[in-house]
Amino acid sequence: MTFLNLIANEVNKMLRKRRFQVVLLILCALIAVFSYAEKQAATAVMHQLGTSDWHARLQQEISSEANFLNSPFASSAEKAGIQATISEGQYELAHNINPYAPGAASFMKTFMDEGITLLIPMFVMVIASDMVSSEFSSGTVKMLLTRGVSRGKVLASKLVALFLLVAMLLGAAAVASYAISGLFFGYQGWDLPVLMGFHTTSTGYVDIGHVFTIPQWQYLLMTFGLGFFVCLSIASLSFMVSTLVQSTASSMGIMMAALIAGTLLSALATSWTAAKYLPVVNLQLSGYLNGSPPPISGMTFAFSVEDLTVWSIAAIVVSFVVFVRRDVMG
Amino acid sequence: MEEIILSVRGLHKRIRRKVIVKDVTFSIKAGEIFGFLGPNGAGKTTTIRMLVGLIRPTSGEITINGWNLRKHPLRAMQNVGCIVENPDLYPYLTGYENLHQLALMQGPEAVGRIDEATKLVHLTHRIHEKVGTYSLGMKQRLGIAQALLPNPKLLILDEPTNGLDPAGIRELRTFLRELANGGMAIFISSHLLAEIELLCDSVAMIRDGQVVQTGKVADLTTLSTAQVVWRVSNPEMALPVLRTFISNKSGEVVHGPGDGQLSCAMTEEDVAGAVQKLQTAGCKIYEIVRKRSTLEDVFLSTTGGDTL
Repeated sequence: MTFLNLIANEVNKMLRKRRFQVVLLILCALIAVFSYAEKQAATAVMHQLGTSDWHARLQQEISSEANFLNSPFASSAEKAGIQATISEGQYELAHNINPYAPGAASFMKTFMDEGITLLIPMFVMVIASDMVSSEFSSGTVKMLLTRGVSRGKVLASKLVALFLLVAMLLGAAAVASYAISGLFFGYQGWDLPVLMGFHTTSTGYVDIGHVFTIPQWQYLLMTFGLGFFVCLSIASLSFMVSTLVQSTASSMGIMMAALIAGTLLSALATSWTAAKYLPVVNLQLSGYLNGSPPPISGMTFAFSVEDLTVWSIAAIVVSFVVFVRRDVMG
Repeated sequence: MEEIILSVRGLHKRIRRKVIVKDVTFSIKAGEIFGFLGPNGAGKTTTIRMLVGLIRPTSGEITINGWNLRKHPLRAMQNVGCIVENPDLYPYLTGYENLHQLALMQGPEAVGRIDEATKLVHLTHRIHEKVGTYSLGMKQRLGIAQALLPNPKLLILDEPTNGLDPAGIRELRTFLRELANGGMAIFISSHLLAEIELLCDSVAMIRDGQVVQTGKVADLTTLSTAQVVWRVSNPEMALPVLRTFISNKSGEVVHGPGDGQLSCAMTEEDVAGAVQKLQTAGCKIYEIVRKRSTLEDVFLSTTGGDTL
């Protein structure tokens, strides 16, 4: 009973602080900007090709990718990525699947697949970093810890509240990306086919032998589910940093550095294989669905999920041990 | 009334190599207002943080209403209402929401006491405004309301007079006295000795982490000599008269401290006799003041003259 009250308190505080609302507002603004940009890009391509026929566009794209494949500057990882794009395009041509079919649902797919590496974790981090450290910087932690409620319970209520807020954030992202992009592309596209079943071989070659299609709404369920899992990991890590450094600004700085380092490493560190154990390079779980090769070879879906799980649990354990034992000084 | 609510025995705190609090021992009875005095940096706040379980003592025992704080921290703390350093409030919530949040942590009885606590600290008319708009004095009062929510046996207030104007301080004094009369034990820390003297029944004085003096305020302030200051029309004439009355024959009657004033140590009987003698001699008496020593005098005398 008290525990539910504690959780309600924490959610209430975060909403009254307007931090959550500000994050939502930024999210909506960005979605509007992205939708507009994508719309403009599509129109520009149509003008250049002089036709709105998607077959022609896809054909063009495949041949330009093929040119790049012969470039001496492309790394083997890049080549594998290009290879994957090309085979995907060829499959789509052969099966008469229009990858450019517009619609709010397609925008949601792109937004989640791309946003999960940096953008959405940033929003999660902004909320999570504040959770514990703000109580320390305002001194209110003294009040929370002197009411005859155990420290473990206080921290647990914060963690549960954080997970609820992350769920709300992801729900809001789904609704907002559908509602706002629909203004630009129309509210359709739930049933469009999406390609699945790519296998990246150990040599980096993408095998399309087992490719099949599923309706887009199914894919969206999967990618948002994986996104939620990734967000919970980011939330747990930020929660630990927030507990350890006791300052909202520093904990946001640390987490931001980690997230950006993660995206940079994914792009650069293809030869430093030990980097695959870092949580921040394992964020693109949906990449395993849509066939993009992993940033570092040897990474698999199961590996990434396990890695994130282990990091999250460790972060939560550290948070609790430190929070329960620590002397609360001025 | 003799029930001991808070008992502290041999409390030590060492942080790295530095001893912050050393062998602090005292106890507070129900209905007693206890002053914890000392200059800033003497270890007052560290001690309070140990009393409310924010800091683990290096050694020593704290017992609150019979519950050992180390073994039963939650049971012990359920008897305590406290403000540590400043009232800790969320500025983006209203006063009522601040109280409600805390009350939810402490159970339905506390929720039922919100209105009563609000009324007690005279905040009813502003309770639905955001705390960010409150004055320091109002925050202080809201903090006290928070502390009173669990209907505590022990109230711990750290520098409660900070931010209060003279009228507010006087009000706080009456208010705390009422609570104490209702059987609550009240612990107050302060570096302002004059304030505490008016407010407390007993005190402990702390310096460099050690208690240097404890006792009832009344006992401490009458410890010193019975100095009497006379202001008369003709000091030269009065001096030899007073000299025949001074109780301690080795003592001396001296001029001062002010113009036309004489000081000496005298019993009440001697004062009466001297008054008669001076009046018959035709010397007018404007004022006779018996100087009581203040807590400040006591504090300075025990610690070798350092100022606060």
